[in-house]
Amino acid sequence: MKEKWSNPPKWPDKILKWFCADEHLEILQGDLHELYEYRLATQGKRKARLHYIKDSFDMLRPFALKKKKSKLRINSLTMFKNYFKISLRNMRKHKAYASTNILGLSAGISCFLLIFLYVQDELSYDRYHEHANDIYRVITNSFNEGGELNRSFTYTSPMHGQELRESYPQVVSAVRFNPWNFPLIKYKDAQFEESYFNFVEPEIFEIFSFNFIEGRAETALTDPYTVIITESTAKKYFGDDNAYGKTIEVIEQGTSLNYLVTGVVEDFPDQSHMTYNFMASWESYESSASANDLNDYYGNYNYPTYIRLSKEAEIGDLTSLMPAMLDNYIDNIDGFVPSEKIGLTFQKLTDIHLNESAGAGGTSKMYYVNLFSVIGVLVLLIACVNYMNLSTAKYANRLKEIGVRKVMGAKRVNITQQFLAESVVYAFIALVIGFVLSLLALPMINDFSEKQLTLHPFENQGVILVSLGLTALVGLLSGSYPSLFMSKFNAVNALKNGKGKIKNRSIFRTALVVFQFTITIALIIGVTVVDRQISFIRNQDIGFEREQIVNFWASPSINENLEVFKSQLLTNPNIIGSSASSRIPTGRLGDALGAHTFNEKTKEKVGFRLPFILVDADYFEVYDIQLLSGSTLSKELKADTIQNFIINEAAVKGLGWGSPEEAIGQKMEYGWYSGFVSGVIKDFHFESLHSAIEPMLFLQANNNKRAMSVKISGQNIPETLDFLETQFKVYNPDRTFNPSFVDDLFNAQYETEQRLSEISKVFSFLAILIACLGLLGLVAFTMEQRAKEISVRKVLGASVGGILVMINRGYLILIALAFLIAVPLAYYFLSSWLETFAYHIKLSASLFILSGLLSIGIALITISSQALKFAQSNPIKWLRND
Amino acid sequence: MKGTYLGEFEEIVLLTIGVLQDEAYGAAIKLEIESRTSRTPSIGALHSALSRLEDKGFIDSREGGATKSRGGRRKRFYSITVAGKATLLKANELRNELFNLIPNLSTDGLQ
Repeated sequence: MKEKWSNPPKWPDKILKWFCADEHLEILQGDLHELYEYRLATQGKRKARLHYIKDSFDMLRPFALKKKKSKLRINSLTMFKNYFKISLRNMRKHKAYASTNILGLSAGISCFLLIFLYVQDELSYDRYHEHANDIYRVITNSFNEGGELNRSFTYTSPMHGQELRESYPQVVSAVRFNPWNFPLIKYKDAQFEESYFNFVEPEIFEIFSFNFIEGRAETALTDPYTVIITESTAKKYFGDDNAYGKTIEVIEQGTSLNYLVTGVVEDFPDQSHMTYNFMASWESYESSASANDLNDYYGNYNYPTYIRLSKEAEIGDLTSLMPAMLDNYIDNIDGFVPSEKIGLTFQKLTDIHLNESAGAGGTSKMYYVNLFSVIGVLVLLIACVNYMNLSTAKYANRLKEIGVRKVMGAKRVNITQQFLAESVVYAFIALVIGFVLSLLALPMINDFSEKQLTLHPFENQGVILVSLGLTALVGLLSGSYPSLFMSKFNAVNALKNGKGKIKNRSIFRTALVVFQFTITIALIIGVTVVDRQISFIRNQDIGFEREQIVNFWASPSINENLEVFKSQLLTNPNIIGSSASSRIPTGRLGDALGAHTFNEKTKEKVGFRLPFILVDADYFEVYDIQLLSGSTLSKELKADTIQNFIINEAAVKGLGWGSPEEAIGQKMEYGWYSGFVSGVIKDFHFESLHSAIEPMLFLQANNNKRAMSVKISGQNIPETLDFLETQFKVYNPDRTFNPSFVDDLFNAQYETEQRLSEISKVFSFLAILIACLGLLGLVAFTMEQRAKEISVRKVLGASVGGILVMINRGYLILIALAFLIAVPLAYYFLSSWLETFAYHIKLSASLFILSGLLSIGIALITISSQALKFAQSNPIKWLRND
Repeated sequence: MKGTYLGEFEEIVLLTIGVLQDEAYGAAIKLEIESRTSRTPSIGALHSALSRLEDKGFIDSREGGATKSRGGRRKRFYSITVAGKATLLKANELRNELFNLIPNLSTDGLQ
């Protein structure tokens, strides 16, 4: 019987095609079909189909399967040599393009490397201690009446450390420090004022790690009047001799004591938040401090305390036990349960450096670590994007080469490998150049950030890893798009047409350009805002006069003869006035006592915490602080029992009085003083503009006022300073005179912001440079593609200007888009940064528009520089070959 | 040379190729084997054997002869090489030798 013809099922064919080697496929399928026809005739359609399917699968035997390209592996080494050679050849042929590309990549890599060094350094602080992860610093928190956090101190009361050590098993050990006031250290001829002299308990060695050069940890701090010094200190005093066993003289406040050197330790590394050049035994302190001092559980916050937690314990558990301890040992404070007024928390050692505020309050160092990391990645990304755009543009000219390769047997994967290899070569060259750039920039960066960053691979193993990883990443990432893009081309078309068909507009590439510009615009906005904020702060009226005021530490001997000293100063015609106080503006308001005022109606005490400074009668005149009501302090100190309090406006509001006038005459108790409010002065910024103005009180008392402020006329400044030094030496022949100007101190508060502004300017400039380089290349390419079109237009009468407009218009749309994306981003981040300042500029529309215009300007210049070349050229040149 | 052992099935295939002379290609070989012996090798097994024989050097191949029933696909024709002929003869000789060595083996009494 002759069945009607029907085709065998198609799907087994597909499966066979997938698995079968090319050389066998046709033959085998032919046999299958023939057998199908045979069976169709002899056995019928169903059997024929079934057999067909069975036979198809049966054909999938080892001999028929596609062989693995083992030959490729053997060849790949040779091929890569070829790829390398061709890359270099191409670079030499197109020097301009190659150098633009490499420059962009190097800039990006260099940026990244430097930021990496910075971040690596910041994150490594204090990690060198063996138990670093278990060490915590004890923080004392003070709460106001509303239960809100008032202030935190990195100091504790003396008994806290001891209690933690003895009564809590999860605390392996605890150590207390007591920093001392700049004693004078003397050994034979060497005599220096030392600022880092500390009393420490012997338990310090159970917590922190020290390397002893002389002496041993077990015996170093066990006896009174013994001290350990650091290596560089030993060199300073003893030269190359051994320090161990020698005696040094410690002079402070007129008393001189002898300390025995019982150990020399290695210097603290830079990555340590503490630097104590002298560590004296705690027993020495104990025998000198009053007994009362060391038994305090409350107040007397002068002792930095650290603990080491046992590995199994949780710090949260310990924290929750603290309120109970405080309540146990402290009497009620102002009628409140102690744990409601103060609290103890624990800060991880490794967090200390990063949480330290960068600047006087405001953002922490961690914030900047994150910020710079982000910037580093962004700049690198821009550089890679650049490479992608530039190389895709130029590869259009290599179509012939790709065509030939494909004809010779290269598969798509080979082409991809070739271009990936080429981008890795670029990346490697860029790495070398970037490395050199970083080396050159490093000294400047080190100066700037006061660090000692090093790129040396032996000193910094991280560098090698990062460099290699970076090369690979940059190379592969940047190369991914171009190589995939290029390998798509049909070889035949490429050889036939010469130029080949490449879409002039590729969405991906457009997106890349928009991305670059978004980042650039955002950076421009950022830089502008930071700059404005800094000058805003600089020029803000701080409420006191900071020019021409010299500040230096008033020693106790000066304090004892204060009036004589001050009148002596006035004999100099260049000195206008002087004042002694406990702190000066631009410092922190650290001291506070409790204030009590009396409610008019109920005659009840109302408690209030008020920071204070000690002043003398001339203080307000020297700093030109305006008096609002009442009178300032008079020269004669009234009897100690009744005080004249001077407060600021904020204090008036805080204490609940309606106006400055109302406050005058109000009865007040402050700490152990009692008296009346006799004057109100206008608010001024004692602390930096990072914080709002706090209420404060000015106290006149005979206690030690540590700071001298001298107002000078501004003429003959060097002679005036010499005069001051002479006067100083009359009372302190052994001390060094260290004057500073208050306006310098003021500027120092904003040093970090200043630095940030500088750094962001540099990075923005780099990013803009890279983006412009990329734009240049892209425009150059597009121009070449459109050369014929432009020539035709010119022939038809278009002017150079007209052509420029036409070309720029296309890109303008992209920039506008980038602008729309960049603005909200920049707004979000910048407003959160500005929030860290209590006083900041507003982000106005004009700011954004200005930045936008600037970006457009830059882009236009870049584009036009390339476009001009083509627009001005003779059209014949391009049309000739058609 | 991937060994010169001639398997039993391979021998049949090789012989069939000799029988078919110029028309020895995949499907034809299969049909011929089916009609002359009562074996029904699958086309996959057959091609596998053909591939082995070619690897051992006993047969040569050439391509050609596309027909409509094959959807225009070509056939692969096989022919015995000199080495193949030598192997066949040797195998035949060996078989006869052994056969003749067996005592009392005559065709009497067998169908």
